[in-house]
Amino acid sequence: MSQLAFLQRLFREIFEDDTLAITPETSHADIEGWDSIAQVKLVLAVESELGIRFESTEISAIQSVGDLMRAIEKHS
Amino acid sequence: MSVAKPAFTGELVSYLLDSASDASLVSEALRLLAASGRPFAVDAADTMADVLESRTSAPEARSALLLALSESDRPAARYVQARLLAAWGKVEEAITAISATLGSLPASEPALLAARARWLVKQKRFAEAGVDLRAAFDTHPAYSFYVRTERLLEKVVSAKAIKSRRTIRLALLSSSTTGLLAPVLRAACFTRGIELELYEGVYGSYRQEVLDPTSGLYRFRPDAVVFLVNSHDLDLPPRGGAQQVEAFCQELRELWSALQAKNPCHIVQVGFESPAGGAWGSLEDSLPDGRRRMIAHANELLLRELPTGVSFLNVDVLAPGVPLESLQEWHASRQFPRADALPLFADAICAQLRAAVGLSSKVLVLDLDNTLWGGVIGEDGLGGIRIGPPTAEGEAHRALQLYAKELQARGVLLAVCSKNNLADAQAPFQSHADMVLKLDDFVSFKANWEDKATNLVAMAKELSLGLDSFVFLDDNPVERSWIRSQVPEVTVPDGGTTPWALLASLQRGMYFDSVALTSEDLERKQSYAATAALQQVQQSGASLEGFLQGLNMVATHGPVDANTIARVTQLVNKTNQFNVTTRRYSAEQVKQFAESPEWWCRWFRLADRFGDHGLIGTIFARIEGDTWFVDTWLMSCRVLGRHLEEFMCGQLLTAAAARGALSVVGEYLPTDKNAMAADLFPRMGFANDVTPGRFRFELATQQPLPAPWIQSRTEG
Repeated sequence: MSQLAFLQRLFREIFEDDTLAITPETSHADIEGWDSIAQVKLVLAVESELGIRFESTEISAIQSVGDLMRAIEKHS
Repeated sequence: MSVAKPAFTGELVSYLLDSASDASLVSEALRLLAASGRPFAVDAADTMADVLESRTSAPEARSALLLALSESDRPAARYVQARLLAAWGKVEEAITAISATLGSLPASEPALLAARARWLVKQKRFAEAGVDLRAAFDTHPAYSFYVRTERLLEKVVSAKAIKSRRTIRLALLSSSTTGLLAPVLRAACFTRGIELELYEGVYGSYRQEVLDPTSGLYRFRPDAVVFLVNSHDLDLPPRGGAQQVEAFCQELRELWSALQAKNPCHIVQVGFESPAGGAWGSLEDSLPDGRRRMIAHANELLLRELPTGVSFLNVDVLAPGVPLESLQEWHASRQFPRADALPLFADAICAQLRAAVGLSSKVLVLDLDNTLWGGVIGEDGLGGIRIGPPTAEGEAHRALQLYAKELQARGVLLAVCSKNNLADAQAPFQSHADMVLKLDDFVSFKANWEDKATNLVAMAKELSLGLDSFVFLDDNPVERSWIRSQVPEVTVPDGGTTPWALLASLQRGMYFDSVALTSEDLERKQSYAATAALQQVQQSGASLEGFLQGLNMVATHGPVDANTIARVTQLVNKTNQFNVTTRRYSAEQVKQFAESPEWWCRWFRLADRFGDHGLIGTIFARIEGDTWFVDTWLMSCRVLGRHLEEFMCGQLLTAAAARGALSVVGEYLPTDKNAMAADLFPRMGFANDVTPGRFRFELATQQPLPAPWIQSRTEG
């Protein structure tokens, strides 16, 4: 619960849309502007807020919110 | 002030547990409890607000929860309350609640400022949102903050509610990716009043961009270009490689001149970083051709005879002791410097851009008690304040004074604004042996009991300088936030409260950066002191004529040439008040005008009995057949009120007549700041032209006004 809420907050801020409702199934295709550069920024923000560091291979494998949550899980 | 308050967290925890037990919720509450270093754990409070929001849906339950929160006086409670109010559509009330939190904190908290900015944007209060974002960026937050506020800032900027001081079209040409740098650079420039239009070249293709006349770079027509290279480009072995270093630097220098020939602009050349952890270790420094030595050699080659219009950015000073590169980021996305060094890097670029266009800060206004010395002079007395050894605190205050003195030595003006009795405030400067600064180091000294915003406004008027050129350094967070709210144009470093933190905030801020040192920078203080003396003479009621006569003014003038381009460009870019057209030109453009037979570009210097004021005015006229058009005419505010304008105009008209012109045409382009130049041409005898806003002087029938108080000397 709290992890999804944290990510929802982050997504709403980064994509500046406070109606954005994300689920683990939400993917690149569902959010306008979630391109490769946005992905790098998103990952950097998650890393910095949670104090973790992903592997490069993990970053490139992230296609959805669920993928991101699993990657966070692995490091926390 | 510390942290999450146990009592408040406990209240919430029990409330939450009553509603339904949830382990992660408890752990969030515990994180809030354990938070330290910040006023409270904002992220934990966010999570709480989210959870509370999602499980409180009945209107009665919502009211009860808001009431419970409003009964606590903890900042975190106000904040959670504000979040809930916003989520439930009561945005104005949310703004009120979060303002209460912000008002109760000792320092600016960027996350809270950003939250309020978001709600202000929702209410279309863009200007206030901009002030909040600026204050947040001034705390130098971590990289992720810039990511989280990038689009919010876009909204604020595109609403055009905040007037920027200047728009700069900046191109980034680099051998690394720039996508992560862009948002931080925009934020850094926004914070200092510059609106950035950005062009990002494809990484690694900067040579093509410069050499191909049809490239996107030239279509963009940049005002400034950053060349961002790094030590990977040199591809050096542990030792040797002098030839490739020399070839690389030679090529860069050729790219600068190719670029400036096609598109005059300011160039910021980023130097090569000195990489840490080379395989050959100390040998990379000690061998004459060791890798780090070769990199230093490369920087030396770039710096040698740096051409006009190029400034060098030394990246090694940005993050001393920390590698500027993350190899993982480099391999994964060709990112350089590493993301968390970008805020500092962006500020350094912004500082050079500001310097290049003449928007660097000009005045450092200093508080006294616990800023320039430790203790309170009115209470502790001369013997009780700490300045210099033996206390560490005293040494730090002395170091801060030395720093201010060094700033002054290159043209930054110093002033004092303190809540004190004047005599108390002046005593240490007059009779404390350990003081570095003396009374005559300050161009303005305000020690009284009026509020500091009023004092700053008066000071700006006295010095004829804009408040946006002021930096206000004060250890007291209450004074800092007062100035921020009352005179938002003033830059207020957000350091801590110790002398070390204050000094660090000045160093970190890079407010006074300069890309060229002119002799006027070195003499500036005397001129402003003279201006203040002149005001006194004028107020004493002496006759204007006698007063001007007694000044013994000598004006020297000559054509703009290689020796004067730097100073003329500085004036062209920073003069706001006595400036008829406020056209801004790069050094390269000024050079082109100066060398063209179709232009007449003249500089003017003034000396009087107060001293030499240096090069303080310039006129550019464009020659079209028998008509001269005054493209630019400006004068530094240091020499206002001396009737130098009649003299300058006389030189212009005489030169035009001597070259066979029939008429001289001037125009006035109004801005917020140049009202004093509105009637300049009519005052000089120009008549209204058929084209509105233009004025014409007929050389055949009219005579220039005399300038009897000024003696003329021609040079060149």
